Amino acid sequence: EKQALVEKIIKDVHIVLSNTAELYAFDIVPVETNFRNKSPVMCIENCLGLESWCVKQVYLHSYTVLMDKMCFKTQRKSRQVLDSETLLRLLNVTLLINPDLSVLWNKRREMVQELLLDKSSELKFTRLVLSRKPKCNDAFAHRRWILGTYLNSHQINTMESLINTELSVCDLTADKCPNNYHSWSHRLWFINKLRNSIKQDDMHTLYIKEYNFSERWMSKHVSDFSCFHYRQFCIKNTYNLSNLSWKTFENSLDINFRKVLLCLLVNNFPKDMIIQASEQDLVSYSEENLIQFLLSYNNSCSCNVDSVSLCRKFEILCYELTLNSELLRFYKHHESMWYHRRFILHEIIEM
Amino acid sequence: TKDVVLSQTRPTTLLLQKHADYLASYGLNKDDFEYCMTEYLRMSGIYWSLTAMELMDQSSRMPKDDIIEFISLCQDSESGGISASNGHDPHMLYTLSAVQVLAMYDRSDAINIDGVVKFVVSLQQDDGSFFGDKWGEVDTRFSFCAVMTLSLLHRLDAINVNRAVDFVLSCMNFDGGFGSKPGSESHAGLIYCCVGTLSICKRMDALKVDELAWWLCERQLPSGGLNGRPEKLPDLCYSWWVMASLSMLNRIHWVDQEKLEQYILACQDSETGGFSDRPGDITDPFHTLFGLAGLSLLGNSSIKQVNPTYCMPQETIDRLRLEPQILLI
Amino acid sequence: MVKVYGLVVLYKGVTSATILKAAYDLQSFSFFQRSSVQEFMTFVSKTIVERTHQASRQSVKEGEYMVQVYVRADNLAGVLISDHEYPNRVAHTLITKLLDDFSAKVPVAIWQTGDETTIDFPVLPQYLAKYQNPKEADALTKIQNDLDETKIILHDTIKAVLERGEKLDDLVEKSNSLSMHSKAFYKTARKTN
Ligand SMILES: CC(C)=CCC/C(C)=C/CC/C(C)=C/CC/C(C)=C/COP(=O)(O)OP(=O)(O)O
Repeated sequence: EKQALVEKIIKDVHIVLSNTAELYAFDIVPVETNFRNKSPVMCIENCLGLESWCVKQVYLHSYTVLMDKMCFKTQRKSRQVLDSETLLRLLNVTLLINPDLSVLWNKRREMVQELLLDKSSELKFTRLVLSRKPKCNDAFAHRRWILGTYLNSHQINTMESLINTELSVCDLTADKCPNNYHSWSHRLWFINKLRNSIKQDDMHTLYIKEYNFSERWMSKHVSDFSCFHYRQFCIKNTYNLSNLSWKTFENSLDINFRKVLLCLLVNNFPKDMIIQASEQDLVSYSEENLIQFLLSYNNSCSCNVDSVSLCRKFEILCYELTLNSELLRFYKHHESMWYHRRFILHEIIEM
Repeated sequence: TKDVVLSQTRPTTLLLQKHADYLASYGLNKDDFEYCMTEYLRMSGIYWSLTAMELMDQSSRMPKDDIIEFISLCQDSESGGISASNGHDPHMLYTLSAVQVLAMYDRSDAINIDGVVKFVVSLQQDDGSFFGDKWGEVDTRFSFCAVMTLSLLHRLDAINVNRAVDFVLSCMNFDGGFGSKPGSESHAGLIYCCVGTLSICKRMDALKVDELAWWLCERQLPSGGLNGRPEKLPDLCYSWWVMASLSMLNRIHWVDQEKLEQYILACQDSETGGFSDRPGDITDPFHTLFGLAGLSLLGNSSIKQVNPTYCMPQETIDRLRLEPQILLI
Repeated sequence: MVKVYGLVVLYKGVTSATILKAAYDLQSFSFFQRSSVQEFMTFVSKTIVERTHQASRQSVKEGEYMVQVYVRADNLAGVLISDHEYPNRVAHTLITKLLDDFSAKVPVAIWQTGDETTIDFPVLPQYLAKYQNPKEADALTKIQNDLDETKIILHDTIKAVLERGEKLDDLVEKSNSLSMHSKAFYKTARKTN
């Protein structure tokens, strides 16, 4: 009788999974006993719920069937005992409950290779797993594997939506769990991976987008150092924007980089410096002249510099310093912001 | 900063016998559910328990013959790699744990060593990095597993060591720390893996020693406990990842050792035995090993000396005549 | 995370507090937790207002959450539930303004007898949305400089607010306003902590 109930539950989960096109969350709902005497599988507003009282039984059953009957255990070569449909049902329910079972993710990858599972549904399934376990590294790794096969095979006409989905999965997992190492590290991996798959212009546009995104995120997650670390990655990506992208970049901001830089400079000129130019004058300087002007303080400098990129880099970093000071004024005791400041100063000194 | 407060009633002395009893009976009275939920890391579980028992000089209470048989059953004849348990897939993580266990038992003959070497070699990439298994996930943890496994088998020459080192160095951040992949955030667990790799490959000269040690000792919180990166709660396991790294850097005195010792002792459960991540939480073998190993690094004389690179008893490392590099100040 | 989960306006009666209006933003909770979380926020708001004296302010930290309370001399009370990172000062300034607005729009006469269904104060959700970003309240803070931060009583846990001998577990168990589901939810949450 118990066996029948468990099988029924597994079937119910399967029905929800296959009938709901856009399932976006899964959770185990705390209900101590089966007092309603109804199916413990719920689907409300595209969310799948499983009541907690049945979890142990369902898991024990599905895990044991997978490991024993599927011959994972002994002769792995002759495993075609379960048909792929039954197999998939068991894999789904077991991984939803315990997503750390690498062996089952491996099984899914084999099935993808054998064309028994399609890649886009794998992306959906991992997203569902991550909605409950936003730190699950195996689920992220599975996405990386799937994405790797997508990006290598050059059949990427739907690039834009692929990028958006991936970034939204990262948003979701980073929001659910602060300092989510795996989520931010995945985001960074993904952006780096795209370098070989999309045009340079598009890459630059993406850098700008991520830069702006990280600024918003940072000011709402003031003690999420993982996000500050990602911000540092975004900053470094803006150092090498093309001239055209740089214009777009400046236009995408609601502040004026140059003014922020000059303001900071003018307020901090060394006391013994005789300043021949006012803030107004400086605004009209070209990058070249500005850098010349700054370097002339130290007369002996005869180094060869790329003034334009140096000036831009300086603008970015000074803006970051201003932003950081502002955040520090609001939220005093956050380690993240001081660590971030360390990075900014490090970058300025390295210049 | 996020932190915990140590209560007045916390344990303040080492409850050695309780821990040994706890580990000896671990797994015997576990229900099936718990057992099935954690089977995917069984091999590492055995390594944690056995090493902890070794450090307490009570390893004879572990079922040696069963363990050795279990390990040989977990070796995959095709790839040569070892899995976490029967029916699971071979992986770098569990290959290392198995090799560590066999090294402590001095029974490497129980597996096909050439098979293991072949497995590790097959996972090195052109850039020097290592996959964890054939599915291609890259992580600095796997670099460490690879070099430690091979060095325990005296076969380090089978891989391209220079490239392995270059890859690890490509994961260094401006703060001197390391992450899981190039560009990833510094994390104490991964710092341990990367410093450990350099220690085994004798390339400690490549580190930014002072920056790194500074970052590491900043992990200490007012409670005395350590976290693994900024803005996180303390967790006992970082008493190992951080302290072992500092120990390889020869800068263990940069943290307040007395306060750390108090924190570690506070993580003991005086009823069940064992250590947990934070005072009052449920204990497990993982934290029990790192609590004991941490105390050993701090010089506690009722625990055997642990080797900071290998996280195994120093006597095992000496018997194998391994000489991982440690910085001279 | 800088986040406001709930804004509640209450009336502190002689024996108990009643909710006059409430707005919640529970998007960040799992779907199946939302109703329980909301019930808890309501429950905690009432409980704390009942244990806060007239004309006083309290800030209570509970794990990752922060509950800010202000009970005015005329027994009108406001509660703001946020992530613990939301700046206290901003929160209290906001509650003050919220209660000023509320008393300007809703006649005093119906505070004692009114409830959520009868009281009309539609701007509450807008408040909740706007002040997700504390910078929005920066201007406010500058105007209302009379807030004396030293007068806010700080507590590290809800326990500290309860009266002698009271236990949160008992209050939860006895409460009529919490559903069976929410009580089960509370128990599991305790276990995993
Ligand atoms: C021989 C020994 C002792 C170990 C073998 C080598 C390995 C596997 C070391 C693991 C080191 C380690 C702890 C890595 C951490 C990986 C990581 C990215 C963790 C982040 O996950 P969270 O769950 O967020 O953990 P924290 O919150 O503690 O950072």
